[in-house]
Amino acid sequence: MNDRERLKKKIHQYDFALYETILYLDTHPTNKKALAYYSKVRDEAVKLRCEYNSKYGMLTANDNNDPNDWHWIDKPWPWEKEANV
Amino acid sequence: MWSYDKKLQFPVKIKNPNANYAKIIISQLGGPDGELAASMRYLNQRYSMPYGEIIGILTDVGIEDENCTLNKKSPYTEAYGERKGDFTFSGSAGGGIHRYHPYKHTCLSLHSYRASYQSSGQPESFRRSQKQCIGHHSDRQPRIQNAKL
Repeated sequence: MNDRERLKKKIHQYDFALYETILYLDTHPTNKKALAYYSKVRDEAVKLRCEYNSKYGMLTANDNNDPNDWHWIDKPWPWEKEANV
Repeated sequence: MWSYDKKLQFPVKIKNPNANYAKIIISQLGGPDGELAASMRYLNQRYSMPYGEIIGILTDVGIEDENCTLNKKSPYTEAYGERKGDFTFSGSAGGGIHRYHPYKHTCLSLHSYRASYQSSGQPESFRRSQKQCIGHHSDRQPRIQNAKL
């Protein structure tokens, strides 16, 4: 596993934790512990996504920072073998 | 993976709630050859698409269709407008919208079957037609039959 894969795995983990927290908060909207956990995980997820974006390319179509090229259409796509090493 | 924006894709202002019109929109969204089916087709066509540009288009048009389904003109917004309770869901006053199975009644008088969600036509010519009209929002008849990529 290279650095890119390691970072992507971390994003998977934080996104998963974030989503589960969101589901919990939908039914427990005033739970202080959950709200604190949400903001902690959310901040870390945003940070990791920024890091991935600056090092390895776009995660969403809103992330292009190159004034000369549109990198959304660059390989690999997430279902391709190169993206799953 | 999706993330939901808590806003409509386009602003909507309902002056006159219209249950029959809502019925047409419901069918356009989830019925036969509706937005939901189109979005699944686009997203699945990506996997055999050799050109990155078209994979990008299919991805973005596919999720835009999904947005249409979720976010554009909610049929319930259309039906209710800002005057909730003007009519009920069932019966003539509600334009025949079924309370729990909104897709049951389509503008084509067809029930929505799983077949609505499959890809149809020749895959190769399908791809060709998509390549020829980048950005053209159509999944109808391919322009070139038997085209080879």
